[in-house]
Amino acid sequence: MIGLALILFAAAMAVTVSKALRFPLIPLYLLAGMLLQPVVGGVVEWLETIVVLAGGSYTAPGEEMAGFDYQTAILELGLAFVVFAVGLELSPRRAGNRKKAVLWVGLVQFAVLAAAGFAVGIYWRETVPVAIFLGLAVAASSTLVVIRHLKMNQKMFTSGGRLVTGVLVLQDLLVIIGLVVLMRVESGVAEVLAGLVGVFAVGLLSWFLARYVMPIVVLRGKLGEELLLLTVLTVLSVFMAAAFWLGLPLVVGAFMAGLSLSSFPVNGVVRGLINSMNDFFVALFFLVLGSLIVVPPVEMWGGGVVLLVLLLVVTPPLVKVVAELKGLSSRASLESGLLLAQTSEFSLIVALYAMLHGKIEAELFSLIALVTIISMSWTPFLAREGVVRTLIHLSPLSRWWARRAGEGRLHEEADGVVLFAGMGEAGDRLARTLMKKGREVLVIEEDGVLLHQLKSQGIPFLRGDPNNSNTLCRGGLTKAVAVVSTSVREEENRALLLAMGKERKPLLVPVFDREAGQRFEVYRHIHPVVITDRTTELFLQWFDDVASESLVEGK
Amino acid sequence: MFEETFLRYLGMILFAGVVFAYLGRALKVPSLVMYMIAGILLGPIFGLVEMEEALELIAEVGIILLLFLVGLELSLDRIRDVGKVALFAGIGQVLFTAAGGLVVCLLLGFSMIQSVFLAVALTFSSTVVVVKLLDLKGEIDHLYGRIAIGIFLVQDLVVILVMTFLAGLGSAAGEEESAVVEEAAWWTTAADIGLAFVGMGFLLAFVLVASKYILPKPFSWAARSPETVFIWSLAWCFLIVLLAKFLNLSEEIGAFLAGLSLAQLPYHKDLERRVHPLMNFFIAVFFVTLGVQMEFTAAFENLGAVLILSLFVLIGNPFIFMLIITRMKYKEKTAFKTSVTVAQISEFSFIFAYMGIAAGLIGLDLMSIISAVGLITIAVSAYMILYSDPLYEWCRKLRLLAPFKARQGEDREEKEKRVGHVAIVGMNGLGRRIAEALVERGERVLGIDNDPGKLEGLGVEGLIGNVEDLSLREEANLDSAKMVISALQIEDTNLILAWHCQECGVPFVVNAFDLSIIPDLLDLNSSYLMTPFIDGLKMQEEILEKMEDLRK
Repeated sequence: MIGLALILFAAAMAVTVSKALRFPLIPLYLLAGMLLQPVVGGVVEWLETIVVLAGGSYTAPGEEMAGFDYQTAILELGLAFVVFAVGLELSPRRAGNRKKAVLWVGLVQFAVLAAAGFAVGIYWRETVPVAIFLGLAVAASSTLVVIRHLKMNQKMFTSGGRLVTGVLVLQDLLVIIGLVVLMRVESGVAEVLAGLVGVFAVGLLSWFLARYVMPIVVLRGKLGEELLLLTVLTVLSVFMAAAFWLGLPLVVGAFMAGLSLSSFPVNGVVRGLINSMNDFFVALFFLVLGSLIVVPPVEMWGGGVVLLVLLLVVTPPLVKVVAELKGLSSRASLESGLLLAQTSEFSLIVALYAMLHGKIEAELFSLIALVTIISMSWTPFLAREGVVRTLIHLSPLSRWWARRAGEGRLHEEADGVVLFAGMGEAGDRLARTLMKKGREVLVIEEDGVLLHQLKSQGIPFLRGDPNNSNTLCRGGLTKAVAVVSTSVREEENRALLLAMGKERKPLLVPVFDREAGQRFEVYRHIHPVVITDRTTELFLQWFDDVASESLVEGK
Repeated sequence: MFEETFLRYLGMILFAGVVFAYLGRALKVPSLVMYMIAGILLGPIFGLVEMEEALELIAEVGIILLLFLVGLELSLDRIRDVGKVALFAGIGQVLFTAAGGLVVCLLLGFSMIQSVFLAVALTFSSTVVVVKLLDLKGEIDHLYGRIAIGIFLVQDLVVILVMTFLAGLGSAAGEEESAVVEEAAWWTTAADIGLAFVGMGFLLAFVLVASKYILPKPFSWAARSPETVFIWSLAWCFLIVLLAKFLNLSEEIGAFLAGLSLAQLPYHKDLERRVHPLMNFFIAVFFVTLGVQMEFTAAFENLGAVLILSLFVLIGNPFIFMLIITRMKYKEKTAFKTSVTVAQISEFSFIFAYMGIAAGLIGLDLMSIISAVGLITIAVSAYMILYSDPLYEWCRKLRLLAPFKARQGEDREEKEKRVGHVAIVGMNGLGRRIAEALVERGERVLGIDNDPGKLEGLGVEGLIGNVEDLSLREEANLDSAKMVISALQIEDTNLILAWHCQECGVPFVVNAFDLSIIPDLLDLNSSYLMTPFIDGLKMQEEILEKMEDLRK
């Protein structure tokens, strides 16, 4: 009990720091666990002594905490939960309409990093199996950290967000399969094949349940919260038992259990049930995992640095190239690459398994854990706007794309042009519509890939930063009818306004959230700004016309 | 490590628990009874599961979370008005039942020391069982529920005193029986009892001060992040539980007070919803392990005694309560429903018996009698509590309650369900604007968001929480809403809401913020899609056309 209370206390500290500094939570949990480790034994003993000294009379049987390995229990339960929750979210739907890009980026990143990790292992003169473990440990990126970051920054549904989410899901699946292969690789090919057949069998069962059984049980059973929760947990237990019986790692069972509940809307109902349990067990799991980390010997530190450099130097450019080839803008591709540049919670699970089964030493486990902590920690800083901007300007590939598209054409002489500040998500669509009606348009864009797309669609463009007054002038701002902003970001629109300077052309700004909109209203005094949002109006019209009438009839 | 017994045991416990719970559903047997039966099968009968420390920890956490939830649900104001009746009825019942039980046991031919043990074991009712059942009925905050919980807390204090006393007795018995040692033991016992009272006073004061001056500020800072609030409150709960243990009080009391101190926060309801599933999991394990630990070998030989003692608890305890509560001016139905809640013995009784065995005061035979009485009374009283309304009507028809001469009728419960409202999920710019416009149109608007800050200053009724939680959707009573509107930009949540509304046939309006999700939302029969993206584009197009025309 005292141990559990201490763990929760440390977790509370971690969430506080995470919230105050907007720092990823998982590395903080791990760090808190590391700090807890030397303290916990001593404090538990000390508190116990105090409890006994103070009273000692009220001691229920089996209450003696000393010597009870609560860590194992938490680790086992927590692991099952973390993996189960990942399985629950596995759905091709996550990738949106970017399935091909997801497949390419996910596979290439996984393969290249695994190979690099393996090469590093061999260079360190580790045995081949250890090198493979190392490769697998660095190959995937962190679902928990990245999804949280995307959600916090409302980027889940940008094209980059979709890509990243899909890649993460794919990589988790690959790690699970990789783990099975690795655990058996020393026993020969036949064993590996048997393991894969086992995974396939459990997967098949899970698919069958997801498709035919769970929708009936979960949605039609009218089970009530308690029974539904226990049913879900029993599914988890049964799958883990099946994995155990087939000689597969228990995480495979937990993952497939999640998968069996991942069809819509079953997954939504289940997610609602286990959200808080998940928060609880994630905290417990990573704290206890953190308490297993030891400081690796100094001679291994260099290795850690090599792995970190590998993540930083290989992932972003690699993802950027592949994603650009698959049609994402330079910016979205680079952002995705930066977001994926860390090792995953699954790396920790792989390392934990390897350590517990005696395949790697505690020091190597700790090294992988520390690399994970550091690389997870840098994620929000890497994905900052300033970093992305700078790197795009530095990227030779982006410049190559841009050069390939050409300068575009100057519009100084054209009269009455509609200027687009960036292509955005749908600038090309609007531009085409206007062009069909015989209007003059010009899109100012600096993203090489997007320029290329504009060129192939035959839309006039000008290469350059749309928020720069020179570029705007070169685009013919003085004679333009209006400027269309394609960004919903307040700061970009403000920059655009500044760049337009005294040229009082109407600026059309798409809808953004109301608070930002109100702040933006101020500019109306100095500039004719039109905020293009009538969603509420249209809805209220509908509400008044149709809905209230039919509702009255219905009554 | 991963192939060890703990997960296997836990798996079997869950599996057996669920199988029996399904069976119980078909046979209309309360789930907790079925959990205990599952436990008896796993433990005493087939010997598949043995108690181990990890399972004990889970069971213990279950009790703590249950009482924490009760505290969260009852604010200080709501518990204060039942303080008097709880105190009188609690103490009165303990005295009467103990005395009556002692007489019955002596008449049944038990020795004096055995009778004392049995009588004390019969006296305590199970807080966990009753709270779980009240939770199941959703009536914890009804008047009778609050009185019952008050009584249980008083009983809990008495338990602590008895345990303290017994521990003193046990240590005295274990040592050399010289007069000096005995006297010293008595002194320590008296001092311990005194300390328990002081501790209780201190803890109560600390929690009150914390809830008023220490907690509100940091919690309102954390309110925007439900995860932070959740982890904080669990840490707070366990901190107070530790403090309670340190002060020689029970974990239950600590957990209850921790909950009570957070019940004043504006989002205590959301916290409740978050702790609830966690509690359900842990407490199910608790009930199964309760069965696992039962022991029946000697119970069959003493079947007569088991039945008589069970009847004493099932009828005698409610009788004494009716007597006390009706004297305190509560109406007949409230008194009756409160009284039936105490018709079982507690898990404390088992612990108490274990302590007796450990102290060498009683034998295993008494333990199995207590187990059997426990199983019978918990099972029967579960029915009595769940069906207390029809039971009351039945007793009234047979004029069984007439001798108590209680005031007739029912004490009023204030609770109103929402109907015909427009629920708006997500109080972002879009949500707030729609809310304001609909309020102007005279609609009853319910705003839902997990950030309390976003619900402020709108002048609409607010509900804090995540609509992915089924219990929140139930509390919002979406099924009877006039319309549900989601302004959220979260695909998963919008889809699950769309599904929910489709299932219950309520019109659903949704923010289709991204083109890719429109087909799914249409498949789920959403009534209206708000498409800011397309609307914006169209509006831009129209404006630009107008400008061109003006120029010409």
